Amino acid sequence: MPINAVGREVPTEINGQRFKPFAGDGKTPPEGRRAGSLIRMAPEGRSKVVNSLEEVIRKVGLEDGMTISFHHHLRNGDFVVNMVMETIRKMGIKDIRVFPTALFPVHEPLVPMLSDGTIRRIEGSMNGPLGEATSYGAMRETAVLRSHSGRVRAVESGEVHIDVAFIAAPTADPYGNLNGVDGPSACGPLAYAMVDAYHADHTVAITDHLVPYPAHPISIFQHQIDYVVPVDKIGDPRGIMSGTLRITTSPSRLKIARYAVEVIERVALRDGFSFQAGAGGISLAVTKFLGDLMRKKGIRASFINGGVTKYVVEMLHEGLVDVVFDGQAFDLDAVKSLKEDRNHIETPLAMYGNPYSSGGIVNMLDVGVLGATEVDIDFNVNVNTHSDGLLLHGIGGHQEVAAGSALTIVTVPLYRYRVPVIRERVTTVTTPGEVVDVVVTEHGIAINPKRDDIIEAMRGSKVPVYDIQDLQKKAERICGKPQEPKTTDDIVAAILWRDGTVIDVVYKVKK
Amino acid sequence: MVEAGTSEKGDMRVIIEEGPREIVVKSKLERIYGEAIRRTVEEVTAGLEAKITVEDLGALDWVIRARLEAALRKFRGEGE
Repeated sequence: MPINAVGREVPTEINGQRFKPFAGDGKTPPEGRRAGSLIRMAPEGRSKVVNSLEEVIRKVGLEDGMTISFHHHLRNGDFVVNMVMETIRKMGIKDIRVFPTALFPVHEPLVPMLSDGTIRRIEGSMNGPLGEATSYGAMRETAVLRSHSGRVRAVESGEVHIDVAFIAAPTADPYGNLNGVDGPSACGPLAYAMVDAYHADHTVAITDHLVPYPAHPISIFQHQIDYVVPVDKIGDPRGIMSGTLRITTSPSRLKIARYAVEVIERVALRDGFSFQAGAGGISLAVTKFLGDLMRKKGIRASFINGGVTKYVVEMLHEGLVDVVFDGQAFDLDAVKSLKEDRNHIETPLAMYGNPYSSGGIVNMLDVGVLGATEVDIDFNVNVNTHSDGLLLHGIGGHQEVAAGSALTIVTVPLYRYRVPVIRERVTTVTTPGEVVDVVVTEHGIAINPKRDDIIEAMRGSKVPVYDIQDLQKKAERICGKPQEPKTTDDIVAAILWRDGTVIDVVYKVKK
Repeated sequence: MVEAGTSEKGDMRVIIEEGPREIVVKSKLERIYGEAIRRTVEEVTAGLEAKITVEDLGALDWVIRARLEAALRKFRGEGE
């Protein structure tokens, strides 16, 4: 197997498909033309409503070996993936490739389907039990993980062809117009599903809020939806919305957020600047502190790209930012703002950070603040596996935000409980060090040596600046040297860079 | 039987019971620090004829040593 640009040995063939090794961001040019979907006609009559999942699965002609897709706007409150997969299992359809944007602990019922022949593999983020089962070798074929934008690229390029897209729709009309801002299972945007609606051979909307024609506003339009299936409930609002997101109260995490904000202030803060927001504890604190600083200094941002929470919405409505781009809403304030404020714009995922497009939002970002499970002395970041080798998280938008932002900051504690976060070598490379500029910990920061401008900007700051090797040694002194994870030579998952090249693989873990 | 420590994240609970020497380690970080934890428990309790059970929730080494020492003192009746 060849060694790629981050020094990892990677396969060139995965599940019988050819892949190139990672060569560096922007080093692998695109080829070919965009892929298309089956041309089809609307069913007769003025309604596309079909009353059962089994009937709709027969109508679209789902067969053994086909690929089906889902979106994850309903997150850990989603009922749709489980109900569709259970119907498929009962109908005796086998060898399905499941192509979700992301799966969560609520999707644990899919674990037995990995071994009973229903599912041959999953290509998508697996947060929790499905990732863990995959780590222990439960999946027959190799899992493939892509970032949000990498997934869009894979669909547009034909790397993955979707036979049937099952789209959870918080609101739908009988002719297939959909939105996510109304109904008992409201989730905000339907951004993740847009590429599937456009490129799948067949599209099925599943809703618990069927409204008279035409539904409005419209996120996904009727000409892309073949059937509409009403069900009792598509999700549990408690799992869809994160509730009241709280800013971290941990003094060390708050210190990390303050250090990050000082880096932003010295390097990027100016009228019209832009940043990426998230929903993690440290990210929320960064958003809040940055808002306070902007208020104090009279600075206005041009846009925030989210991960939208009430903290972002408050900044929009206070006039601290002109526009909010929304690919994912985390609380009801975000949903309400998306519905009512025309400066809060729902963006299709294809506009987010696909490198093989005419340019995504991330290319316009000044600041991206990201998290990690591990960072190494080459600034490589791992967000997929834990230090024991288990695959427990997806990539999300980490790769494209890091690659696009002019200033990419990774905020991490030096260690979590006893586990060092800054290490000699990350367990899995998700994002290469070449696109990471500053690592911020509660003990101080490390600046990527190639960013002389940032090193210069931080001179005279009270924030302690270290070589990343010193932070690594400090973590190891406090925690002790960790054991290497006990893995085998069997590859259970491939991690793709957003351009479709293989950046790393995940090996099977011994029980 | 004596106990020291808590079941909070980042801490360790130590239980020492009468009986032949035996060490039981339960740790959520078994794969990463299992060997290091066993080494520390062996070292700090060397020569003690008792059953020593530790339930680790990600404690740093100095926390482990402190909890073990507290349990040892209680076991030897050196007061609370």
